[in-house]
Amino acid sequence: MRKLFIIDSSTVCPLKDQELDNWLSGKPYSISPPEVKMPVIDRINLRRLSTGAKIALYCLHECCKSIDKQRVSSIIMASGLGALVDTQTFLTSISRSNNSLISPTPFIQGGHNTISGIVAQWLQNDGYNMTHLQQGLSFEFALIDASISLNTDDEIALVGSVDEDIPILSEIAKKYGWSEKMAGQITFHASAYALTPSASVNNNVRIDDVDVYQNMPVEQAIELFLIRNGCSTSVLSQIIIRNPLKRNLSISGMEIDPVVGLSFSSGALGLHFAHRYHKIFPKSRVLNVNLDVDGVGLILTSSHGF
Amino acid sequence: MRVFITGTGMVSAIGNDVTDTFQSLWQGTSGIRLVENEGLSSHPIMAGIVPLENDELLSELRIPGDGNIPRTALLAIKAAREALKNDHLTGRDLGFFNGTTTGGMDLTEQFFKSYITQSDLSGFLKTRLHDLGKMSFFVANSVCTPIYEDTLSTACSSAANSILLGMKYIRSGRIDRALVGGSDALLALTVSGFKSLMIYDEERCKPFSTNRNGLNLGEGAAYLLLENESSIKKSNNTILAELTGGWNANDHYHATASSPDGRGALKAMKGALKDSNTDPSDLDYINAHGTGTVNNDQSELNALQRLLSGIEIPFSSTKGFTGHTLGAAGALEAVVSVISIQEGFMPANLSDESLLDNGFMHPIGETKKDVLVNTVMSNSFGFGGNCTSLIFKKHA
Repeated sequence: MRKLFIIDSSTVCPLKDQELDNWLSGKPYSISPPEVKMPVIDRINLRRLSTGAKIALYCLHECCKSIDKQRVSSIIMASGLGALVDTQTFLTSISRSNNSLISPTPFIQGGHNTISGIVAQWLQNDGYNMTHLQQGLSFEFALIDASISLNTDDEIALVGSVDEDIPILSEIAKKYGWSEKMAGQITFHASAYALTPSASVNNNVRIDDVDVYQNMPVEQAIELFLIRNGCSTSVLSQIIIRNPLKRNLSISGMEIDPVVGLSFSSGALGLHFAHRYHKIFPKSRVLNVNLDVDGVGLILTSSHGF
Repeated sequence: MRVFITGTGMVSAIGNDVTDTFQSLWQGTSGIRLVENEGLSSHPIMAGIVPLENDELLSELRIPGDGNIPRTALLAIKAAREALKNDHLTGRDLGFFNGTTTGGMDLTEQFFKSYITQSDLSGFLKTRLHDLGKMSFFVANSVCTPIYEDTLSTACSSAANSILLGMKYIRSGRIDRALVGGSDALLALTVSGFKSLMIYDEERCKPFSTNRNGLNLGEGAAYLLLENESSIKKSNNTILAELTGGWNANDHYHATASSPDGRGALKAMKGALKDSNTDPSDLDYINAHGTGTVNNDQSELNALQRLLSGIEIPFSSTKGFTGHTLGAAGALEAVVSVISIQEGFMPANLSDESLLDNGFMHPIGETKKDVLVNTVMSNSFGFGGNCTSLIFKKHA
């Protein structure tokens, strides 16, 4: 795989960066509900946008602060469930319309590629524009897409992930047998990354490899993935694990679910966590294990020069 | 690395398989008709419906379970199985890349109506395959033994992008073969959505006509089996055509409208031709996106005019046959492009007599039969400014 370097990353989640650094360092930390931070866009659009769109755009804006926007050649988004708020609003409108005129706004904003389209318009970017929806593995697929879409060392891919929460989600989860406690952990998350194939003094964290294994036992997938990267669990500095269904694993590491809550985009937070980890521990190698219902996503990162 | 097409499958309003589809295209028979279905719309609408009920599909496809299988999945399984029916490797070791905009929404609509009107959650099992990824996973594992299953949703270019992504995965060396395409069923959500945008034609749609007044929705699914040379050596499958290039670009103009000069479309077409090492003058036929909306068709025509600068290439939109099948459209039209190459014909642009005329650009009035079609470009453009073009060639 073409290696990618992280220029910048940003998240909206219950662990603010200072608290995240404490958690990664084994120090006391605190969590707080994720904030709906506002992206810098025109007020009319801001008023119309759902929580998910706002936090995704916020993260993407943060990542764009440190890059030359003209170098962005790919905008790639990931989501498990897409624009739930707008979709619910539009379905409600249909159910209650009685043949009257209904507003098209939630229909337009309910499209799964709304955010990647808004970013292209905001950046006046005519490059590659894609949106992946493969449950909790969407982000890994977006990263693979970025690795095969960047053609030259100058190019930058903006890769983001977002999922939002609506009350009916936890109600349905309970119907499917989730406990009250688990259903109560469903929340919203967003993260974004500016990635490039070339290293520089400002981007010293490298994504060595990423892959998705959907029809294979988890342990076998991890072993295959590490072997092809010439390493084993014993040489890893840390393993960051998303394991929402609490499957038994033969490996151990830092489990993110208890601190960030549950969403299909929580796995994407792991790359930001790895990015921060490498800053705290400059000579390190981290494996992200993202266990989803129908497979596992694996991301291997290193401090440049490891 | 070269990428070949060795299997096709398609179901839509003009046929339950590729053979039926070819017959309808050859004869110029549209599948769009007046549909009276309270579940879709309180008023009759012109739409391209697949003439198979869900229970017929369930019975034909022999899918076990509780019957809570979305129509989008049923259509997908039917078309995907056809695409794999002659695969000597029986669908092994594939990447499955699926384009869809609706996933399991048809069943979610039923569930949601009870929930919103009566706070009734008892039908929750209808949401089991609601999300696009879960539905694609179900489809993939119903038809093949996949290595990867990924879903793309970029509005009306979703399936074209799944074809593009499959090609990129093969070229990158990650996989040797992929099943690519898309599926979307007709829904109350999409009918109401396009009506709320005031771009749903109450009459039969008229792509590239001066009288065009919007689109008619349709439903369907189509898939293509892509293989590189290494895979074909193992499978010994027959090559139907070659996918020589593709490109995705963004129009960055408006959430739902295309730019007047079609800048995103132009970039996608130019990129696809360059990727395919093909000169615009080498094109024999263009399968246009051509939805029938005032904005889209003029924008696409302007982009074509800028691309071809005086070169006359026959083009048509086949949405007058199938209706606009949204996330599946790019795959349906890719299969039509392959049939066009195989059978040596160019489908008509079903519309009315008042076709748009930009000087040298004229949509195909009647089906062109017994012609040599070596190279086809297929366009798919979607909301969010998403533009994708693909190039198909006869296998030499």
